[in-house]
Amino acid sequence: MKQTLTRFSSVLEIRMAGLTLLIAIALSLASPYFLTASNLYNLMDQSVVVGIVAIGMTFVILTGGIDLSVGSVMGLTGILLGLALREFPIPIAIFLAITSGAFIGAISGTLVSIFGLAPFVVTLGAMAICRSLAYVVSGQRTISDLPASLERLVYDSFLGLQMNVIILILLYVLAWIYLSRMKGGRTIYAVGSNKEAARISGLNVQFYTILPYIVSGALCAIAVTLIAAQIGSIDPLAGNGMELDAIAAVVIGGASLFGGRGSIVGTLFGVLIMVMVRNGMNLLGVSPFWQGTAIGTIIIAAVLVESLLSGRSRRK
Amino acid sequence: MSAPQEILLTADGISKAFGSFYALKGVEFELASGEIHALFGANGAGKSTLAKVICGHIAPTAGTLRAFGKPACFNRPRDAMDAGIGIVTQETSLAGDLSVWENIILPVYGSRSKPSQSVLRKTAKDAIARLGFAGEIDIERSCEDLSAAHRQLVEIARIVALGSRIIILDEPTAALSPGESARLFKVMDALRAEGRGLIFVSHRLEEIFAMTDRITILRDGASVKSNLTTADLTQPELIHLMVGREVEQLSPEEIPDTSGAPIQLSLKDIRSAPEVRLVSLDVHEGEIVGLGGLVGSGRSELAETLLGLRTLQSGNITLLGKEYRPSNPRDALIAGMGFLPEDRRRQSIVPDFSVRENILLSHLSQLSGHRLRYRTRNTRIDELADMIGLDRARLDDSSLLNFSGGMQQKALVIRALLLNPRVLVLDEPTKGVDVGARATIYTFLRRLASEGIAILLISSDFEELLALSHRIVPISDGRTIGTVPAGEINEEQLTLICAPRSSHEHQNALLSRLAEQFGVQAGWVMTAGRQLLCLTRQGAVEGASLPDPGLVAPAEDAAIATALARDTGHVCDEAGGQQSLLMVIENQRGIGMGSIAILSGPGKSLDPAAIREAAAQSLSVFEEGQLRLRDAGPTTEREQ
Repeated sequence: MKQTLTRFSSVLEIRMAGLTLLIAIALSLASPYFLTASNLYNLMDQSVVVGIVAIGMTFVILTGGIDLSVGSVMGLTGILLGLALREFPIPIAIFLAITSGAFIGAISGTLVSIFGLAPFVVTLGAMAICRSLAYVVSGQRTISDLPASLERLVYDSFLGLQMNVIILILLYVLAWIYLSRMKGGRTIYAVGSNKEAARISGLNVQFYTILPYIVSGALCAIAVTLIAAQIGSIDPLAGNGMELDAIAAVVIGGASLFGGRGSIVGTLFGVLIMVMVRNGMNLLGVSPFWQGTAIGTIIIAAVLVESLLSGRSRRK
Repeated sequence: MSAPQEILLTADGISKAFGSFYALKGVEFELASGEIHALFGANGAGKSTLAKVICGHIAPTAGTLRAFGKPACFNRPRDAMDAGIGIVTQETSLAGDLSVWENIILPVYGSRSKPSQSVLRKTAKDAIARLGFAGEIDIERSCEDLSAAHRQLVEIARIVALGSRIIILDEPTAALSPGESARLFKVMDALRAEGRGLIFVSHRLEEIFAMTDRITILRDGASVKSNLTTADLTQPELIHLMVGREVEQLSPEEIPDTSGAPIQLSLKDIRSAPEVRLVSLDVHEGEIVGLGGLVGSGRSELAETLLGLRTLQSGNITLLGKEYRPSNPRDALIAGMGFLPEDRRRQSIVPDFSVRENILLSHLSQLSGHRLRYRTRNTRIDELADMIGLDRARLDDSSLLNFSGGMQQKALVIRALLLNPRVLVLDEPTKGVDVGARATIYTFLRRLASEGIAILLISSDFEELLALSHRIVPISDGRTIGTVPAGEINEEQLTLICAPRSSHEHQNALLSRLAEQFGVQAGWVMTAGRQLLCLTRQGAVEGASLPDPGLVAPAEDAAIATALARDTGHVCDEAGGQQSLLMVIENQRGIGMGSIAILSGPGKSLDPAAIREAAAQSLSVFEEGQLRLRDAGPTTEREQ
């Protein structure tokens, strides 16, 4: 039974793990610094923010949607967090930030699910609105009067791991359990794979089309909270360009933009591949101007290989 | 067939694989000029696939196609079109918003030439005229407003305008009334006489014997026999070739009496406009009720209403004794209804799920907690798989898409039954299912009914509907027309009853002529068992009247009760001093197609000889020889 459920995804995940390992070996051969402890910590640290946003993106892409607003939602919720921290204790401020992220997601999700608008258009609009609001609310200024204890979210350590890495791992475990072992997760897959069949079989298509956007918005707020904790200030420009990294990670991780196909473990490997390649190029002294070309090539190659390997032509 | 024949098309060893499934296996086929060649076979035998290969919609995996003596390798429909091959599909491919003439010359838009509008209009007009419909179809009208039959003619006109010499007609009569079919056949005759080659895809035996010169029989994707001469075959031989074994008697099944059993599903005056107008029916426990309707009659929309996918505007539904107003499919599922949708690919299959999880989809929807609890259903799934004959080992396959149509349908039936519904709504349960799996599904459905499940069966395959159902509820233009025991009606009569109102134009013209000429009321009636159905009526008289069209009333209450009871073909005296006359109509094969009923006003008498003569003459004019009066006399048999 368990085997059936995850047969397809495990094949995909094994492939992704293999690819990740291959890249890691190549980089460690190319650069003596790659496998050092400090660089590995560095890798994990760099995976946190994009990793968290990519979870929400996986949810959305599994339903066949896309969320272009993640970067701007990070900017806006970050500013809201900064303002809230002036009035409230840390946990309440974080809670408010997460709630506002979820709320923005709920609006986008509702427009997509109930009014039937194209996810691309809705989240493109949300992207512009949220970034603009971030500037308006912050008065174009960076908020730097954050309480000092906020940094414990990043720098406390447990079992030798930094707190932000622990949060990342925890979120991945929760997302994995939800998507593969719970009703809501399987419904999200079913909706993305064949919406009409899901509807006729009595699944709550509307709600489970909205939910991924809520998850994505809330996770953006968590991600920006960790950025604030790490650098000690919040900029309205936070998360700029994050949507591309997150979508790239999900797609490299084997998800189909048509929905229904992909996995949270695949996304994690997608994040690791992206971060490793960036890191490796920095270690090797590749010009930052060439890095975009390299990442872009990897995205396209990964999708091409995946579609050749899985050998199934999509219906759409 | 005309004498000098030229071979237009040969297919040699054509195969087509979808994944591991072979839809066609080495098909041999030949089409000559001036012939109508039937592609005959059961649903899912590969008829439509072969048609699509010939017209370039899909490319064959193996084999060679030669058209007009040259090897034909079509990469896209346009290539076949340019080569002179046209297809008329079951679902018409007209652009509804465009006018008739634009639709006819549509292929020109895809080519390089740019003729002027007036030339194009003329081309379209000529094509319609060649088919003999010049005065009837206005080429400026938008195609949306046309009847199904006229839309089909527009498609044929398009092919004629292109000058195609090979014309494929894929189940052209599926949505037509008998009268409309007859006119289509005349057009086909004319095209044959022009030396074109027609490929006629059908599974209706009468049509094949009436229309075709040669037959190629497909079974499970292979051509069992190619290019047989129709005249050399008998019906039983043909059926034998189609199924590959003696056909089991289709309805030897004793129909159980369920009239005393509790009513599980009851619809009263259901309306969900525009497709569902007025629907009433009951399904008892253990009963299979067949909803018989042509394409566009509102049958699938009714199923959607039952599932809560369409708003119920008025009327009442009672499910298992409780009032039922579903707002979504989940309500329906939880209330005890199981549903098998019509279109597997679009409405049922989740392509990214394993077979087992596909089956579990209905389970997923009714979970109240967050845990999946998939295992709790394993025993039931295994049990149902054994009952319906689906190999348990295949349940763990990673995709339902690799299954054949029959196996897919079996898995989906298991899904529909997983939650132990008491009422099952099946929409086209054997569409695209091979003969073997079909028989299994029939047996299984009968067994379900015998275990007390109430089944509402929707099917456009009337043979299946009549064989499987205990009762038939015909539906036409969104209205149900009473109810008829399945054993008391045949396929042709059911088609006539289900024909859309617009197809009654001819009958109405005929009846109103009679009514005017003799100052009587004239109607077209049918009897099924003890019930009377009035298809349409014209004229009015004082006193009692013929029943309202569409309603089935007990025959003994009708104004023409005496005539119906005696059925001698002579004038009878009815209650209230009125007189009546029944004239039985039959088709060319002598099958009763109802009667023309004439009713006079009180105290006025009828002149049977004059009326019969006028009726016979009108019939030959309006029905173009397809229907005639059966000889009257004391020996006239009751229909059915």
